[in-house]
Amino acid sequence: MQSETAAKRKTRGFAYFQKGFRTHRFAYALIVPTLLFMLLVHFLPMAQGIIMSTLKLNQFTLARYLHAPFIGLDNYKSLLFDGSNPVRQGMGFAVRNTVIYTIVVTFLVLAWGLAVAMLMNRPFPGRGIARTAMLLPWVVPSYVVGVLWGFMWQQDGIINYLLVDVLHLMGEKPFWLIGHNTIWAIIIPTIWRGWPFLMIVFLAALQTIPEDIYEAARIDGAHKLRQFVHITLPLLKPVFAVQLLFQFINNVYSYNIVSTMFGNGAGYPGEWGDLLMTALTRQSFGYWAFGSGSAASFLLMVVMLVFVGIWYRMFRSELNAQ
Amino acid sequence: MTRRTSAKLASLSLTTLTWIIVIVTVFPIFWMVFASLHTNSEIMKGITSFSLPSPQWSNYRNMWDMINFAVYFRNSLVICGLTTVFAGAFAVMAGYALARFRFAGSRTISMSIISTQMIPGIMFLFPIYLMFLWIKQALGIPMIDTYWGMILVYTAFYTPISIWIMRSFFVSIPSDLEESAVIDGCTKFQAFYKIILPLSVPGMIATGIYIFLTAWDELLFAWVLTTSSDVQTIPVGIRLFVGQYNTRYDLLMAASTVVTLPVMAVFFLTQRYFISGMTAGAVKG
Amino acid sequence: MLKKKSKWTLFSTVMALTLLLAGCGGNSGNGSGSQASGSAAASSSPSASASGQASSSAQSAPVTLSAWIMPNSPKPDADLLKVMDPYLKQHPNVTLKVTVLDWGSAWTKITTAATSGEGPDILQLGTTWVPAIASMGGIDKITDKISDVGGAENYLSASWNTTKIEGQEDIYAVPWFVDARAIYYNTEAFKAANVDPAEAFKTWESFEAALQKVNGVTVGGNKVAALGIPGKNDWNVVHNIFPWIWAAGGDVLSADHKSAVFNEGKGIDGVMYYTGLANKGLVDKSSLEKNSSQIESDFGDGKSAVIITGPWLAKNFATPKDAGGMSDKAAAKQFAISPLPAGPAGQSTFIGGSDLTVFKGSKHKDEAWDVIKYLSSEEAQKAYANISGQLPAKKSLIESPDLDSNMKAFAEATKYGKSYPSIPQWGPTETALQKHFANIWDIVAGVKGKYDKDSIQKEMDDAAAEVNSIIQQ
Repeated sequence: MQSETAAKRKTRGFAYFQKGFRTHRFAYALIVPTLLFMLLVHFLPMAQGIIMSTLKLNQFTLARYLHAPFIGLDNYKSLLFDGSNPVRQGMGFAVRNTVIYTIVVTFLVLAWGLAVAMLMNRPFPGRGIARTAMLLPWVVPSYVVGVLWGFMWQQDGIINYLLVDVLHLMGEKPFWLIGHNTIWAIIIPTIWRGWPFLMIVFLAALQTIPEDIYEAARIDGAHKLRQFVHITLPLLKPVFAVQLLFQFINNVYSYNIVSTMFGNGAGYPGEWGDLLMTALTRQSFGYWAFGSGSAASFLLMVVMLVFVGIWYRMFRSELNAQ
Repeated sequence: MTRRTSAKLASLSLTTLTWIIVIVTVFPIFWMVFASLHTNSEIMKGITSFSLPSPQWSNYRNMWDMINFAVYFRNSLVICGLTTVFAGAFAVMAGYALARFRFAGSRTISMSIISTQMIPGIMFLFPIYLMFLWIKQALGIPMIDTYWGMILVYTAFYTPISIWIMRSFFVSIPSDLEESAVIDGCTKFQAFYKIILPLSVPGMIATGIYIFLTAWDELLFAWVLTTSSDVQTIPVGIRLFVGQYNTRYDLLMAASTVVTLPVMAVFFLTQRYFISGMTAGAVKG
Repeated sequence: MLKKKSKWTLFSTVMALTLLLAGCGGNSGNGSGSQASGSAAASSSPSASASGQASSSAQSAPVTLSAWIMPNSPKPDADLLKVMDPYLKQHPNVTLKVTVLDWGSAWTKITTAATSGEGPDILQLGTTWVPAIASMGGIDKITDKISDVGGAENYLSASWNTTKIEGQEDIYAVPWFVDARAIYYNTEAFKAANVDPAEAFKTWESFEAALQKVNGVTVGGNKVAALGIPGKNDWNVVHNIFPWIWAAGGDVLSADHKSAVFNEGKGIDGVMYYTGLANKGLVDKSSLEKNSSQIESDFGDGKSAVIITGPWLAKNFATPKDAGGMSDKAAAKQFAISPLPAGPAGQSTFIGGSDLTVFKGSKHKDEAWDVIKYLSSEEAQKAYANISGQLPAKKSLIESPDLDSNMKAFAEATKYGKSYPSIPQWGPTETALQKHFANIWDIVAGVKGKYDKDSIQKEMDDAAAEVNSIIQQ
């Protein structure tokens, strides 16, 4: 019964598709190359990755790759329930840090980007230069950011010098690269490199808002804050939605800055510096737990898809409005 | 205080605030250049002085000498440049299709393009490596440690986001332009090619800069998929200044500067298009 | 219109400049010899063929060998080719293509290469990596050829142990150079504190007493800390701690290599002694944030009176600052080297370094072996040790009276040296140890809970549990 309707739907779908194909031949011609290409380089490897997560893959079986012993869901089981699984060691810290890191970075990058965009959306002498200068951190490669800030964070480095000796904000020079301050040592450079792009995106969006809307509001007696809340924010919502998603993905999958800041790329970033991606990479290659590593990656992907689903529900109207 | 002077004062303080933000933002970049003019041991000691009695310009000579940095530089330019071209082309085509046509599966395609971004890179790494091996064994085409292997992977990675950027750009161009062109006798392709493409140059530049900078930044796949200095990119080469027994932080900082400045220069020259591209549509999401 | 045009002109000028810059680099690279390009064909100069010394392979078809090495020396690829130069002259058919891997990504890259068989002909492996890569089937057995390179008796037993898998007879690698740990001390600081170095480094007790006396003395206007110790952010975290565990009578694993024992009483004593030095104020806490390079630099500046590191630092002290060395530093002319003090179980140190292997997937195994044979010759061993600042692997050279006087202290230290158990799971084991030992340094630095025997014991127990789950897999 069920299959029958499904089949019916399928044929109807096919007819619809056929008709659609004729009217949208040009659109298909444009998109098919991309689709094939993406299928090849995204979905094929992903499928392999999922298969890997059901295999016992360690240094002895790795050479057999997909012919390694099949163990079903054991990797998932041991990942979720077996406390002694080496892949799990320290994962708790990585998850906690990634949550903090993602929330703080995403929020601050968006908020600060918008705030500075508002500042820049008014004429003042040298605005072009200021705008270009602010964008520069975005051009610095993240593997350079990791090394550079690693120096600046040293206990006898420039940041402590400025904070303690020049500005007297702190009594004594704290450690940034060891202990719980490490999380700030990775969050702040990420924000530094991230916000300029958001600033330019928001600035661009602000400039598309026609001035007469504000004019009308001003005549109605709305003060600046009300204008911001009732005009600017709603109009920025679509931009905000997309950038929120991109920032969220980027930050959860952040790797370069942490991996280049600690131990010259081979070290352990510490219980407050380890992120999911550095931990997963270490687990896969450091422990040769490729099966468990793939299982963990797949679980992470599922969690991410759930988040994207929530995101889509939250912003569906904005995304479809255009 | 009159209203006007207080408004003036407010504006002045906002401008001052803006410039303070500029200084704080640019400071780390200044520091990178500044550090690159010190000796290795001065950098390791931690630099806290702003005076520079004897700038070590020799770092900028030695960095090419210690490792063959020019080759890495060339490889990065070729790989990232061609990636920009290919990913940009895909993005223009697919972005236009998704922006203008509501065809069967267009929403599914849009969402699956975004969901490719959810796949953790580390999950890809091994499968792609082995797929490349298989291609070589089955078809005789070497993929690992080749330009086109890297370009293929990067193009695949950066196409999805580029599609989104280009799509929103096309959405911002009024569709009556093509409609009137079609009425005038153009085919759909001609309307796209002759009317829309020229209008979307700023969008393409914005997308291109985005792709180039993201590819320029990639580390993990470059580590694994390239094995010889003929193909390895800057993020791989620059790590060679870090030895187990002797680390040349002076050269590392000089190399970082050299890696950053040309990109800045190109960015500086194209940013007008970049910003107008962003303004025109890339913001719509 | 004009404005637009001029902008493009500017743009292309910058691009041209960029390329020119890259081009300049290429030229200066070439200036230092064609080697800098990463590969060098042996010139088929008449003198080379006329010498007639060439072995049989010299007459055979041209062959390109690729070698993967780590940054062992100041100009890693050019330096190796310089050492290989005499060989390449004799074998004009051989072209050696050197690729340098950085230590951070080398492990990842070698693992993938070993799985696939797509890799170099000659592969440098850190001594602790050999059993892992061997058990993956990534490198060739060379058991029947070891007489070509002098056989086991010509190498330190601690480094020869790293060429096989524990419990098996087969040999997979040839030691290339040796890295050992010894004490560098500032002779002026010891003079100022009136401490006799000959007595100071005898036992743990005398060592600590000496450090107490040296701590805080003024040398060249600087107040020195007694000891410099790198902490969590070092890449030798594990090697920095094990000498003390060994000297206390502890060991890494049980005799059957089935379980971890480093967390047992004696091992803990060793860790407590070493970390205790830091806790007693003999170490400038800020050093616990740094890595070995920074600690060495601090020692050079006279910030610390004693550090523990490898042979390369002596070479570094002899290298001018323009070449990245520290010859201009105060301590460069007032340092001496001594083996580590004896603990309750006697003296000990860490022996590491690198081995050379023939990659399984190589299509030119005979030629690759021939190159390894050459690199194991006394001539090449000496030359490479000089360039890299490492100890040569050959016993005859280590024990030779011509050995550099600084290196003699290291040669002495190697007598008590130990290496890690050569088990296939050592790679993951070291990853786990690195993580937990990193936590120990955080505890010592005071940024992760209270420092006492219980907290260290707990971290060591966690490490042991993780190591057990790895080796019993």
